[in-house]
Amino acid sequence: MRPHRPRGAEPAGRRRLGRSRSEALAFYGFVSPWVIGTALLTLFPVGYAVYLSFTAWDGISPVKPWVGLDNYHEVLTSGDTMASLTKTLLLVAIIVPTTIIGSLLLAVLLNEKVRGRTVFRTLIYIPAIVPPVAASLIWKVAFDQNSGAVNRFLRMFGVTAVSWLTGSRAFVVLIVVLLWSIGAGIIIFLAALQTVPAEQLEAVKLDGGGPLTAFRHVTLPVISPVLLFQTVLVTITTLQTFVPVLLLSPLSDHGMQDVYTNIPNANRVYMVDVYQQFFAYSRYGYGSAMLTVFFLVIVALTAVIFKVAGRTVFYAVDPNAPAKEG
Amino acid sequence: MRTPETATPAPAAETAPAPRPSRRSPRRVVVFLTLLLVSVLLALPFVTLLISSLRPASQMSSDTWLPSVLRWQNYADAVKIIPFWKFARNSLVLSVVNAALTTLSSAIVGYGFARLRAPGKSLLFGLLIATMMVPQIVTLIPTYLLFAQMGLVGTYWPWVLWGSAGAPYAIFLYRQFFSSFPKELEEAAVIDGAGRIRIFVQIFLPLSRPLLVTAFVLAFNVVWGDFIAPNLLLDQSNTTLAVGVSTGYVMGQGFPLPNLIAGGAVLYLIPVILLFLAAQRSYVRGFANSGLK
Amino acid sequence: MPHSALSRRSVLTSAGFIAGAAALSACGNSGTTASKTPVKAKTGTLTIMSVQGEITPAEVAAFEKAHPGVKIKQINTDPTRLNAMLAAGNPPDVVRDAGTDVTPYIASRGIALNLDEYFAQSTVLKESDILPINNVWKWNGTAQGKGSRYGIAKDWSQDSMWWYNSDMWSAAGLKAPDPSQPITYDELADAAKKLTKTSGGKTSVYGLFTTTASMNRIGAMAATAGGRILSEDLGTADFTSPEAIAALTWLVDVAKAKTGYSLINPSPDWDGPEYVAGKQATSGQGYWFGGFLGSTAKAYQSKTVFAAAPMLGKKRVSPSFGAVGYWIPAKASNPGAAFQFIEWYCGGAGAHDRIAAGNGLPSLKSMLSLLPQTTAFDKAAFKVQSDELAYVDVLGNATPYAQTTALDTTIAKAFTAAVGSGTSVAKLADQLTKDVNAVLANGKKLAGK
Repeated sequence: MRPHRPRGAEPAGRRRLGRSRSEALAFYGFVSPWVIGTALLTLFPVGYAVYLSFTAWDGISPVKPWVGLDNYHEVLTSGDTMASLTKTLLLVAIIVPTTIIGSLLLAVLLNEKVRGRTVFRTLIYIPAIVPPVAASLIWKVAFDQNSGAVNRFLRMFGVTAVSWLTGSRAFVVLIVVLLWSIGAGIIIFLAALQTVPAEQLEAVKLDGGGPLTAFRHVTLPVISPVLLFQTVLVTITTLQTFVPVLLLSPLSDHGMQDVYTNIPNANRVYMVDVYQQFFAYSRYGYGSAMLTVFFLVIVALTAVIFKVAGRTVFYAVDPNAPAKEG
Repeated sequence: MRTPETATPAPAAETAPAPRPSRRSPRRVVVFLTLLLVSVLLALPFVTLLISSLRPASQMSSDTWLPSVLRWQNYADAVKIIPFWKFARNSLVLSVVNAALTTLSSAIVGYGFARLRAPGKSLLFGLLIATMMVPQIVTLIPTYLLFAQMGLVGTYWPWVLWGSAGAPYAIFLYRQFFSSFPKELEEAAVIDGAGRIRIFVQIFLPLSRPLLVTAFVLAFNVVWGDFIAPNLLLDQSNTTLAVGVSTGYVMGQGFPLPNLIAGGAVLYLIPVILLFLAAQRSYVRGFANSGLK
Repeated sequence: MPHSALSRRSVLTSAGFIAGAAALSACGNSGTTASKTPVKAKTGTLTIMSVQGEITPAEVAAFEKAHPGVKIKQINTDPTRLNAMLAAGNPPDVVRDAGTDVTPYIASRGIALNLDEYFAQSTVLKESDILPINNVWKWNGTAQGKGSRYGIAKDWSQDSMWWYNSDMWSAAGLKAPDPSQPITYDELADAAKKLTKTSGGKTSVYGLFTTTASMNRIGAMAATAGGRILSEDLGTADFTSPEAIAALTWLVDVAKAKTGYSLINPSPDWDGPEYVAGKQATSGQGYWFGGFLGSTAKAYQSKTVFAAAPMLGKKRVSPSFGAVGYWIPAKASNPGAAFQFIEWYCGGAGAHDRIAAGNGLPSLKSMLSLLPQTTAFDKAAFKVQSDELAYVDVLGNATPYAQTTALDTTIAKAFTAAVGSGTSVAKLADQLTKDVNAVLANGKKLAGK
């Protein structure tokens, strides 16, 4: 760190220049753990994957035949791939708004001083941390046509047993499973809500404004950066939906966890397609190309979110401000 | 700087203060009932897991709400059939070490992104967001090759390295969070001559207690719940509980034992639930009472 | 780093067929690896990739005691980890896999060690004592079932065989089938209809076991009518032969009839728990299921009968859908100790308890006598199994050009879509032929053929 100099010991201009340079140095000092770590632990693996996308590697042979842009051509012209991409985007369109609005509302309610809120918070949060293997058990048992709790419940109203895990209904079940972990976001929203200055909320109240006014004019602006974070995060994770699909897929007839084989067609989202290319078809090159294309789609989508949010997110200190030279 | 006018404090009150809602005000009741409904709805599948964990194997898929007998023995079996406590200890060590490092490291980096200006910053931030989008599957094989080259396969060092580098989502979260503190906060300190590190340590870290706790909980859960990395890098003698619970409850012929999976999963959840309960304490105090205006 | 050297080579391979690269993939081109003199077992770590819980701590301790200085390290079965370890040049010493499915793939790629010399010198796994099922672990460069040995089954079953609940069977007014004579698939489907109990859309008992349209299942069915799916050179598939059509018709019909779980009516579990809970009248598993009943629902044994593999046509064939066992990677660091483990676990002291409990058939003739034969149930199952042994065959259902999972994934996709939309079996057969051939063609292209 720059040692402290007595104020006024140097001309104003030079001081500002020195300060902005020292600020830049400080910035790079602060971000260095991540920069070094990413270069090693992320950029190298990603570079390797991009290299694979130009090969026809089967994942197991010592040779990795170079095929140029063939894989990319196939990705962009494959009907299957485009269909799974469309399905994935549909899932995002359903899940992201529901999850963001839902978990924000829940967090606001859970921030109220109501009786038993610790218990409520925990119950709502638990689904987000249940391990996949247990979640798989829960849902297969619950949605089973013949002995499942869902059909047992519906039977009380005279509904004939529904086959949930096949055909287009499987997609409905997938949405239910994804919405179950809506509580994942409340931990972040609860933290953000603590930053809302109580004085300002009080001021709105004194002004005769109701809780909605306070929420819109005080809470929302203060937590908007975190709201943006949460939107980006949920979008990215929803695009990469994969494990919940696996959870709902049946075992093979010899009981083996042949997980990539028996996935209902309705649930073939993009990452399922990718995993099948990798692990069922051993097409590591093609799978890598699919991921590269997908990555670009995610980047584009995220860029849109940032662009739209840019106008509404309120930062006390604008982290996007360009570095000004003194 | 974008400063929505809505964010400015409301003008001084002219009307009389509204009466504080009492503990039994209609609004409280509505909030309570809504939360009750949602919690029950979300907890139901978990309750079925609890019930499954007490079913005898023969009644796993019987068409009844409850088994005819509750088989508590499932829990005893669940800790016996796999080296449960050893896996739990491994998970705990990895999760605590990684989460502590991630929390601290991400806070440092997040502070840089939020409050310091430098050329190339937006480019780096774009890179940070981009790394959040990299699906884990892409990195599996090269990550293994990397750690194999470094001789770290089968050790816990990869988690130390990952933690020291900070996690993109946590860095992004800190960046968003630190950006919501008023500018005056550090201007006063800079004029005061405090170094950046001192500003960070003495002003920002204490203020971000709820966030530190949140980041720790999130990072802890990521490692505690991760199946892929330990399966890729560790072996059956030093692997984690997530791997043990996911793959260990099988009979001799390799078929899953669902009632033990349920029991193991319930036990597996306990530390995470306890951590969440503890973390909640930080949500009642925090910024609003920290004396900062 | 090793992979950067590899990548350079692979670039060369595509740029033109260069001598160095040809030498590198020589084993891949000839389709086999040469047999080498066995490497003596070293002390130190023996890394085994297997499923968790299968090789128990007690078994590990027993092996280590019998082989002082060798320390077993287990890694969970995981294709990514295996591929990564192979790429890094430090594969496990022993890998667990299904011999019926993987042998052509791993042998032709040169990643599996040719074990001929190891077997030749073995005093435990003697050539004359090895049961014919282990031919599925053989590959001669063009065909499975002949040539060099690449592995051996730990225990196995004939997986088109089936079991039924005799109480339910007679309650449905069905005549008990002659245990020595297989029934036809049509008879089985008819019986399943009578055994199935449905009301209000809810099925309380399924008559038929779970059926999945897979390479193994379709291939095994077609074989009983004298047909096969893959061409002799394993490079193309044909689902439109009369035998394949007959198999597909049956699978589509039982899936539509919902007399059993299938790809379009997935089971919440597998046959075992469903059968033991009285929710399935039959179980489509091989001999080992008797051992499963013995360890989980002993009371069920008295009303459970083992039956020969059904037939579609006139040829009695009863293959294995796995013959799960072990192979040794060509670059394993301790192949000597690896083979010692295979000997111990598949034919030595480590196999004894599994076989005696009826958890599968042994790989060695000399161990057949260990199979349980005390109770009436044991005796009946042993008799049916002994008769069935003569009909083991290598079906040639696996190919060097694609993993069996790839073919099964392709089949499942088309099958589900066809049954869902009511497409005719002829159209489904055309679709399967087209889709599976596309997968095979892609694999052939990569193999340079």
